[in-house]
Amino acid sequence: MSKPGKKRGKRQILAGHKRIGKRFVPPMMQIPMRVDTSYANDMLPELIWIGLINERVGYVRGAKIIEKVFLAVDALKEKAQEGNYALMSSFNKLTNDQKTAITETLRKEGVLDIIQNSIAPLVLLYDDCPLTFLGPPTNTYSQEDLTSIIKLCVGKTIDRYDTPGIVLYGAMLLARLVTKTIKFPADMDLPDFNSVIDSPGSEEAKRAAGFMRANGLAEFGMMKVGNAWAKHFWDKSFELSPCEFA
Amino acid sequence: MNSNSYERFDEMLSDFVQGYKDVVVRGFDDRWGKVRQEIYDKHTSETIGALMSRQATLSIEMAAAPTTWNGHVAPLFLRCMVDAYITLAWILADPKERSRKYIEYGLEQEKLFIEFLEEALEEEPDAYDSESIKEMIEVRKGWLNGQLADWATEVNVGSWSGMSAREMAKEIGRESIYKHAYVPFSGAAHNMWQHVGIYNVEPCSNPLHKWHVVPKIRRAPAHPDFMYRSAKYISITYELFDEKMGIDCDIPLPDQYFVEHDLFSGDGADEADNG
Repeated sequence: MSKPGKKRGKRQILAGHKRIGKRFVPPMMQIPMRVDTSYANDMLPELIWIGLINERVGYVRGAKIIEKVFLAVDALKEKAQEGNYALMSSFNKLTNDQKTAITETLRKEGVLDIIQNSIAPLVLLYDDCPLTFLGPPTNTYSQEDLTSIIKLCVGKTIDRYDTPGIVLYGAMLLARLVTKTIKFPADMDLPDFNSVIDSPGSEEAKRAAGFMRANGLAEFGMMKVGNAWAKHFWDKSFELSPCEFA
Repeated sequence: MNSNSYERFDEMLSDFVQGYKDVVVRGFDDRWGKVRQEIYDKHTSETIGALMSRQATLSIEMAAAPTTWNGHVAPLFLRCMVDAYITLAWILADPKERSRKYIEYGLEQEKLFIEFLEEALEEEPDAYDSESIKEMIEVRKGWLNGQLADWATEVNVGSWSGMSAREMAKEIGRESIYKHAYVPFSGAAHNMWQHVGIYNVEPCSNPLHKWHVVPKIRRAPAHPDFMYRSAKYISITYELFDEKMGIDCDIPLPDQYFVEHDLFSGDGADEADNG
């Protein structure tokens, strides 16, 4: 309650906005060189394969599996093929020989079956999936099963503030860390990234999630990933099952 | 609702509509009968009276059509009524000059429309409706020239008052009505996304469809609050008129009639519910 006799300051409409002609630009939109990035539109289709792996084996085992993928790519890729291989479209840069070699490496590492079965909806339902080279699943799935799996996964990961979505952002950071293409100063106060999984909702987890989102958005914006796969993903997803109304 | 309560509700609604029309019309006639008509500068009385009549008519028509008391249609009435209030209040601050401007602008718009009709007739003289267009031009020219010769009528394609509705509302000390009524109802009147994105779509909950919304012809529930607002706007219009003209009127204001009617007072509503 305000003190008697003390007038409350009048709230200013659109405080902090900058007037440019007839438009009022909010503070965050005044930042120069800003790039619009939509998580749901463009990033989620690129990261959904990791969501499918996590959904099948859990976050911890999922992280170990995608680490093996990142390292397998890193061992073969050349300078012109730089990129963040958490993003599916990055795999389009590889040659067929490299793709075959990566598949073989993952088979030897004992994770190919799990990956194939996890990403089966993407490989079998989407014509232009950049991970098709990894091969079809070893298990048998009906189209209804596959649609149900991808629907569940998208439903869980589409919220970038919820753990499944945050972990996808984290995968972009993980790709950089395991391939040693990102470094932090020794005295930098890094958050505990595991807190996102170990204690979701905690202050530490919120800080870690914010760090991961900021890193992911910044990198995605700078990489200028084409939207061909994202567009195909959403167009095809729309065809898979009818609208649902409450 | 059983058949008894339905009949009771129907009776109360019918009574409300009839009584509402009566209180609005009597309020208008009583007020208009108490002011001296300006005949030398007749445009002053003509403008003020016509705008008052417009406001009263809109409210009566809305009351007579309870199916319009919903989010699809009611804002169209209400936006128009708020606009009429702001216009009237702004004119009443300088009636002689502003009512002249108001009428002139209307005549200018009429002249422009006649030009459009004549252009259409020239382009397609044998069109199936050319005869009716010719008749329309004659009637409209007669109305225009009866007030100001068309050759003497300028055409202003800007705002009639030279101000925006917000500036007018601010000048009359009613910026709040602009912010809280004119702005939200304008969304519906101009079919903007903030209206159609709620009233004309339904959200799909299939995650594979990225939470899109799909067009839907939806029923919007009727709500008496829309009608109450209409009653409020005609009431503040009458109050404004009383203040500016220095008159008193004993006839209850329409918003008072509304809140006291059985249909909307707690007792009457309960009675209809319980049959």
